[in-house]
Amino acid sequence: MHPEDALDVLLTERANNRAGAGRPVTTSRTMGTADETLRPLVAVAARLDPLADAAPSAAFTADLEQRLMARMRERVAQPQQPMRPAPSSPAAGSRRTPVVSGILRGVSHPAWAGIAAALLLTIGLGVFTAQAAPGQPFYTVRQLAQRMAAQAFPSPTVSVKDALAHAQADLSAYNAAIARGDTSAALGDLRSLRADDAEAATVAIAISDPGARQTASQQVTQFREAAAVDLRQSLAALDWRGRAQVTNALRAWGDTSLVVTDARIVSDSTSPGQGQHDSGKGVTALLQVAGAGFADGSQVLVNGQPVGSPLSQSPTLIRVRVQTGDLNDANLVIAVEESDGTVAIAARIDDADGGQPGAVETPGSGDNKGDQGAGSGSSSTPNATSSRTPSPESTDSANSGISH
Amino acid sequence: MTWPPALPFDQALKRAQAADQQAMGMIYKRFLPVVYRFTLGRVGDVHAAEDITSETFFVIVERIRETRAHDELTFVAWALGIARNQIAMHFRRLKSRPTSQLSDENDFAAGRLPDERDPLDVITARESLAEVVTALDKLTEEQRSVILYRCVLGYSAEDVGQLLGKQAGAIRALQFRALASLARLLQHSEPAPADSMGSLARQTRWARRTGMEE
Repeated sequence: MHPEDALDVLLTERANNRAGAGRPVTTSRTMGTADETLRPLVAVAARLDPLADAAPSAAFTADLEQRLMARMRERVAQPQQPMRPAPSSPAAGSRRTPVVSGILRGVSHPAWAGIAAALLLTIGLGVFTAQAAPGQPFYTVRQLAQRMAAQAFPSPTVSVKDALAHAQADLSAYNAAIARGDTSAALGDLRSLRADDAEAATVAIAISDPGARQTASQQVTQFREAAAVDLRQSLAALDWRGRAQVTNALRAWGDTSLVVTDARIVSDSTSPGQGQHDSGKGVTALLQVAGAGFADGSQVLVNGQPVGSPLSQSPTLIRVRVQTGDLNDANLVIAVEESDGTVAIAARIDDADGGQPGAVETPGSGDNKGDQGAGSGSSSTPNATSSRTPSPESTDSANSGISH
Repeated sequence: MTWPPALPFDQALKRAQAADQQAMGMIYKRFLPVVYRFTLGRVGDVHAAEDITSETFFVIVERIRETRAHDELTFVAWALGIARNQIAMHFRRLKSRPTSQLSDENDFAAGRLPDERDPLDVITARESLAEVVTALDKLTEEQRSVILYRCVLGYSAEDVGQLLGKQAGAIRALQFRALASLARLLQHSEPAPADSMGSLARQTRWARRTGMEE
């Protein structure tokens, strides 16, 4: 017997024994006098036992079954909806010409009729709006028609091209809006651009054919590289909030790593003298901004205003002294601006250090943390002990769905 | 790999294709472990395996009317084809994410198992499974498929041949080479007993039950 066959016999015997006995089977018992050279191979097969015995948890099994059955019920319910038209009366049928009757017989099933109607509508809209350019009234209709066509004939490659064409049109509209100084319109176009880009990327990554997938992914990457150049050029024309939105797009495409995860107002225990009143300018606090991609020349912005040079800086952390008066704002926004114009807004702001509210406010209570204390300073503590999360618009958490 | 005799597989499949929930439930219960083990053997992370298994079954429910499967084996081939696509998508998604997120998600390699078993069992299984899945990942696609179908899912060489479109003899040869490669790959991390890995704890517990404990 060939060793391959002998091994197969041993494995089969072993599997049968496992299934029958429900307990571990020692190789020696199973192998008997079999060739010793096969022993290591059987031992390796035995190492797969935990995988062969693995089972999903009971909770997962029950939950999935429930969801699948619910899905099946949905699918069963859909055809039962009153989609089917009432049968035509003989009188109505008799009024049709033979040719029309023949055509209608061919599309008499409700599904076919629906498909035919969608097809005609799509073709009609496509022809009617084919020349509509971005900004023209029928451009939206054109996009709608193309999307309907993509849904009616779902070719992923075509869908990627369509989505990229829309994204390119959005980019042109964005550049035009920037050129005429309409930043509000530009940022609207930017949102459309990102949605179309995300659609292209999502469809591209799901293409099953490896060659087509690679081609589509390259098209998405090429578009992003070109768009990133335009977006970077537009930074100078935007205010800091606009630059933050552009930076979010650039980060989603891997063009920048700048991000601010959180900003923390910490006690100024390392510089007791300055933790109190700073030469007549008011009470100061130490602001610690954490994130990534901080380069030389990074500038911390509080509500869009720069707050001076950093005390210390690393690629992931910036410390800067700020006037507490600057922080006393219910809609406080802390950001970091890079010398290239990119801006990242802190996703979270912590107002206190380790549950010590107002840590930098009032001098004289003794220990290091203890610039804290009751007194007049407490009134200037910005929402002590609470955390604030800027609005989704300001941080643009919509990044997450976009791969690059 | 026998279907419950109450309802032959082909009838269950036909009924499931006609949206019979009971038949679909039977198919689900029968093939859930198959899809799950196959997936776990590829991704090595129980949570990812559950997610992918879940996605696979939703696709199965969506497309069961389209399948041309006529028996259990062709149905398995079809279902595992869907699972394979879902696994590929999973890896693509992982690849497109920053590495900092990978470490949390691929925690099977770090030894996490959602288990309430004997801690000794869990520890042993963690170490061994992580090694085995890593080693499996280094095999060729064909070798890995043969090992998964034959040693994990328990199909015979003839069945695996049918699943992969090869002769049974070719499968046995592939199996031999695959296990030899796996043995070489696991050689450096070999502390497990010669027979059944992961079973130090199992053997200990079995010995306790049978009064053979020292």
